[in-house]
Amino acid sequence: MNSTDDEYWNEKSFEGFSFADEEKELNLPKKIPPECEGLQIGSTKTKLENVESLDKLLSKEILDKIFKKHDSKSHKINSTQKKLNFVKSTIENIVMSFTYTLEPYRSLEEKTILLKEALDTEDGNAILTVVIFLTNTLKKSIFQRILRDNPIAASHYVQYLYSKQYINELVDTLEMLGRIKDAMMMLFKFGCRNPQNCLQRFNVCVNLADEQYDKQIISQLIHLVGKSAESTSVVSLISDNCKEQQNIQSCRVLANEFNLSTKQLEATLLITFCQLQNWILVDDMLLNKNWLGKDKLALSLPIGETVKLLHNNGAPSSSLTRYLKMIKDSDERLELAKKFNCHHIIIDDFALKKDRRGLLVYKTTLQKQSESYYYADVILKNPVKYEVEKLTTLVYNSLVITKLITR
Amino acid sequence: MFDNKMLNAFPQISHTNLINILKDMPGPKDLVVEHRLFKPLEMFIDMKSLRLYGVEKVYKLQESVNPITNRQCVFLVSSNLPATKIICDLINSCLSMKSLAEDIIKIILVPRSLITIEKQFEEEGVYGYIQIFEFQWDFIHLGDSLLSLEMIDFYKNVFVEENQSLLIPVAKALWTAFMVFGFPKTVCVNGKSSTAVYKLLNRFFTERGKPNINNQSCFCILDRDFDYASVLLTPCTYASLLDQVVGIQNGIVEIKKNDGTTSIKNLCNPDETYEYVKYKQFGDVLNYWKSKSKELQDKLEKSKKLQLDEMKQYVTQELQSVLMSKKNLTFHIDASEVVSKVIGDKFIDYITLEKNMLENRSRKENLNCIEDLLAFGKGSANNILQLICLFSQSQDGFTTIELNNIKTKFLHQYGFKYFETFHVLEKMNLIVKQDNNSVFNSNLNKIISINKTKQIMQNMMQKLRLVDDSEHCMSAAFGGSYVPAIGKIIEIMCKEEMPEEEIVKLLSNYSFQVNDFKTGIKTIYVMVIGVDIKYHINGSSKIGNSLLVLAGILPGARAVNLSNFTGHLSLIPGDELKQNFSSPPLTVNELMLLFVANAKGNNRVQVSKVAIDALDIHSPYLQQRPFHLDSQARHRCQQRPPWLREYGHGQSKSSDTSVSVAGRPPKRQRPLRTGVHIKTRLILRLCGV
Repeated sequence: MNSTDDEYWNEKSFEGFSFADEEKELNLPKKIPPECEGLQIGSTKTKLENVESLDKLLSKEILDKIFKKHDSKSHKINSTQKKLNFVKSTIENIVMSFTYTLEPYRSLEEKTILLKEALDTEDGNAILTVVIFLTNTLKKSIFQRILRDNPIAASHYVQYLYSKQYINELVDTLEMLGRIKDAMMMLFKFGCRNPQNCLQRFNVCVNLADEQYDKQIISQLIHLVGKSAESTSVVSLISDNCKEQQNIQSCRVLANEFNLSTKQLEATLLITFCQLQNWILVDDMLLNKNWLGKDKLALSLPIGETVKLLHNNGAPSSSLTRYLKMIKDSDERLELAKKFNCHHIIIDDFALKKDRRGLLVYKTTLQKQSESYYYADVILKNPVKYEVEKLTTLVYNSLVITKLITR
Repeated sequence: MFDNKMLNAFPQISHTNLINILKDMPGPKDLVVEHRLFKPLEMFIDMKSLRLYGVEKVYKLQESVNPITNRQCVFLVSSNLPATKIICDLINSCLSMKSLAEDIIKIILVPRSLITIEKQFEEEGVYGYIQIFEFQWDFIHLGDSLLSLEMIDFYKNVFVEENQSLLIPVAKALWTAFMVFGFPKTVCVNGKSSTAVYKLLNRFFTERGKPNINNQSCFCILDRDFDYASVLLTPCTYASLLDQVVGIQNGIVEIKKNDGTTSIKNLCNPDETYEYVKYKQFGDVLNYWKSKSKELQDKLEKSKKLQLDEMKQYVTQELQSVLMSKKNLTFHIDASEVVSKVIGDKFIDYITLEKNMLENRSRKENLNCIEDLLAFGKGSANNILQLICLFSQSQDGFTTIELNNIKTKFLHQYGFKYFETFHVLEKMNLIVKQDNNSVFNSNLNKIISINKTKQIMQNMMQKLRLVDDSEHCMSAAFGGSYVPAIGKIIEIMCKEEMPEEEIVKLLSNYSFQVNDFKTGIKTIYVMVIGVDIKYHINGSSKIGNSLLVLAGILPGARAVNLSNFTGHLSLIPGDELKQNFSSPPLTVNELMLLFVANAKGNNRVQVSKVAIDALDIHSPYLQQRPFHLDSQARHRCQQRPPWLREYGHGQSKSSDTSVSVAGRPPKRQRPLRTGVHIKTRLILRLCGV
């Protein structure tokens, strides 16, 4: 834009209010011709010409003191090589724990070299020393740019903030570095120290999380914290609930709210019932009547481990026998029976294999007058009855089935 | 030629260093020690020598008791903010009541003073009242040829948080060690932290002085992540289980007995029972106790029937040792009881599952099995996390669905606070996702490298035959199911079954930087940085059982292992081991054994992977990368200490190098190398470095 254009646009074509008016007035002083300033200075100069000169007024000694040259404040080292050597020896001093000072490094260039040299030493303390110096002496945006360019420096700074527990600054820094997930996890970690008071923090986490799965987990945590102040995990929540209410159904409902896996639910309930020594509830949970009115094992946990758990907690042998009987694989059944001393099952197995001699030998190992001893006796004396018993069940079953079918 | 006597130098050096500091504070003084420093201190200093240098009372550092009086008060603490904060509070509470006499507060920081600590003193307003000293002890000899340098929170600091402040103490301890032993001509370096430590070590050589040079010896320094599997597996020997369950710190074990009392034992003190059993399988050890107690019983019985004159001889000569053996035996039986109680009922489950994972079969069942263990609460959260990591390492990682599935179950079982733990494990590459979502990041290179990463462990296991070699003596540490990778590598280096170039090529394949490799190694010093990783399996820790295991396996072999410190809550550092093959025909067994211990765990895989990948894609020449062409010169400058060149080794080396370079088309190599470089950086960045 040249001056004619200016004139054109500034020319008032109509009367009325315009900001340009004020501007014009404000601009007025600028229009004072430069000569004015010159004139003023010139007048001072003429004043000086008419007086006695300084050296006549004052002694040289005094004058020297007044005009003594001061070192320039922005003390500069011009040679890059020299700069580098200064920096190198400073860093060396930091690494070797000698005294040092970073104050002389005031230009951004020197600071950058300082950081570069510190990074090159591989010593974390030297790196952090320089980083802290930079954060104290540079404005935020420049400091952040340096961190972004130097990931190792950044990780030392992050760790420093963490050790000082400057959580907000830490999260901001991580976000600035683009490490959103780390920022989220850091907030989460801090929140977990005192979940009751950190719901606000967890909500921020949900917003920061970019994966659906993460959001879901954090929401579950918030839900858990809402449910109970003491429970540290979903499983302990269920366990507490189970102890309090002794109601399988209510535990199931609760577990569903968290999508707890069936296995974990079953195991938790089993362990809690064992602690309570409540074997009736164990039966309720493990045995389902099927449509024939017969017991069926309703369990997704491995049966061997389950029986072992019950056994270790002192469950009565009769219930162990009942569960073991439901194992279809005869070898596995026998093995577990032996492990947990369920004699009835072992005796049945001898009978099934028609191994009379084996059973006789086994009988001698049993405690005399015990229930299992008598059972072995009964089977030995009356194997047919045993067979018959089996047969009757079989016949009964097939009858029922036929009935059902015909119906 | 390695002389075992040299090992005695270390406690004396540590002792003198501490005494020299005390000498700088003449006059009577009180010593206030942070609790966890007591045990390591006992390894090289006793009350008597402290008294000699003016220490009148020793206190434990705690907030509730203020030990500051008008006398000199010396605080000996590790350089961590909580501990130094206590000191600040103590000083400030004194100041609020009266004025402090001048120059009476001295603070000795172990292993070094840090800017964060100094800044804290400054901010708390106590800087003017204190004088700071630095002290670090050197390697502690744990028996056999195992030296250990345990530092509090080392793994967490260096590997997880990527804070390199603790690397200098490691380098310094190594410097002292090599001043004692002499520095090997051959050096093999693997891993980020190791490279950094090696660089710092060379700085010390320049600043503080150069050791003698040893021919026919080798220094091998690796990061823990080179072989994570051995840290994740359940060990089978007595010493390693003791470490895993009870924890061994600087050779000291502390067990809690049933009656509530604790019993402490220093495993470094002479104890023939322990010497005999430490590397035996735990099951065998239990039987041994029976026969041993019977033997002792007999000895005591016999003494009852002695004649009077025999009795005198017995009391003066034998009784002491019999009583000592009895005491030792009681301790070990108690310890075994504790161990069996903790892992007895799940040991078989774990061992079986781990074996299946290593052999990379029945993937679904393995996951299922982990879920069962989880549901029944068999094992601590850490045990389960270990299994999860091992699965990822050995079975090519998780698919997103598998991972989310097991993660949810884990969090439900042990609490949501482990959500962040999983994040750390993924960042550390201990848990790897197969179908990485980064497809959306549209960075093709990224995806390729991740897919490569995940296969590395199986790849290494097959190539080095780590898994299906139960005959191998080193696999004894894991009941025959796994040969520790570091041990295997060292075996290859020393066994001389392969020609020199082949060995160098193999090492380079696994991302070793090799300087001046020559066969005919007589002594090898192995240093593993970050021995224990148990830390991030959640903050609780255990000691690098590897150290112990390893040395144990080789009875009679003169092996030296320099290893790092292990801390209480999180451990880990590096350890170095040195072995001396000087005793005539060096059997392979001896060599390998050393390593078992060290070889526990590693994660360094990503970089080595990169090299291999590049190799698969482009050309075999890459394998020799470190030796190439123009990089030769640069390499030599960077990797070998300048003072080494002065000794004239550089010359002879270059001719070797040129042999391996011969015949390669120079033109192709350069771009390839840069390719590798970029990829490495990328992978590192991906890993959050």
